[in-house]
Amino acid sequence: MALEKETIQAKRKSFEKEALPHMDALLRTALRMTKNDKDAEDLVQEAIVKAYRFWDKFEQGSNCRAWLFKIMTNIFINEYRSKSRSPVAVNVDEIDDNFLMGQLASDVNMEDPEKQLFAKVFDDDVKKAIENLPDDFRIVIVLSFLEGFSYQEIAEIADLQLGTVKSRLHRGRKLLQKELYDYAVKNGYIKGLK
Amino acid sequence: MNCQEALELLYDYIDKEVSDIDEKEIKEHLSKCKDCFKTFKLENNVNDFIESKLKNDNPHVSLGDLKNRIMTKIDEIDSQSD
Repeated sequence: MALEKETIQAKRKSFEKEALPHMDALLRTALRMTKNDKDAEDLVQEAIVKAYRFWDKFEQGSNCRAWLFKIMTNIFINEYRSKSRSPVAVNVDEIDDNFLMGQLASDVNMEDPEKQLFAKVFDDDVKKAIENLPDDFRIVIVLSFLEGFSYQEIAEIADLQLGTVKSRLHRGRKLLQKELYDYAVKNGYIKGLK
Repeated sequence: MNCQEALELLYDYIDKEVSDIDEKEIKEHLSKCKDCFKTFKLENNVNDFIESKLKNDNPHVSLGDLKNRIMTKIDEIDSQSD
């Protein structure tokens, strides 16, 4: 059934106004999810084209940004994740909850130890630490840290229970802290413990 | 609120996901407990640090090129609906 020309024009206009401004945010998150420029571009393109096809399903006035991220995250989980190398198994539970605190606190003679640690960690190290996170953790960390979505929004976007979002964020943070700490010790920025 | 209760809400607090009542009780506890205050401060600093590093890293990918390709795709969809 052919759509009226005005209907198409109206659809196009509202999509350009509501959805397209979120393209840069989608891209920066896609880069973190896929870990490579080409896949990130393809993922964003696929997500936006799909959003346009289903634009009549979008509830006007609701959160368009979250709706777009849900579409993109869904595509990533279903199509891209399997393509990437299987992540190294990490036993997150082995990391003590107070890992970083304990380590830094026991590094004696340090005034404000975290400041010294942070001053020496480079942007690339943080980027690498994030890339090293298993997909399940990286997705929620990026949605929270980079995009500032609430727990509830992340639950809807990634199709997870609220409790799962919280535990993945919690454990993802611990993994990141451990990576950054290990990195700093390895490079001699801080002394570290046996 | 005791230490254990406060620490259980650590990340909820940092992520601004606690209720007003909990927030008030946490602040009250932190004003009295030096250890928890230290832990919260450290975690909050780590949080801000990672967040700022993530946000400062701008993509090398050209948004303009990508946008052009996407608009071409959308044009195709529109012309198919004609």
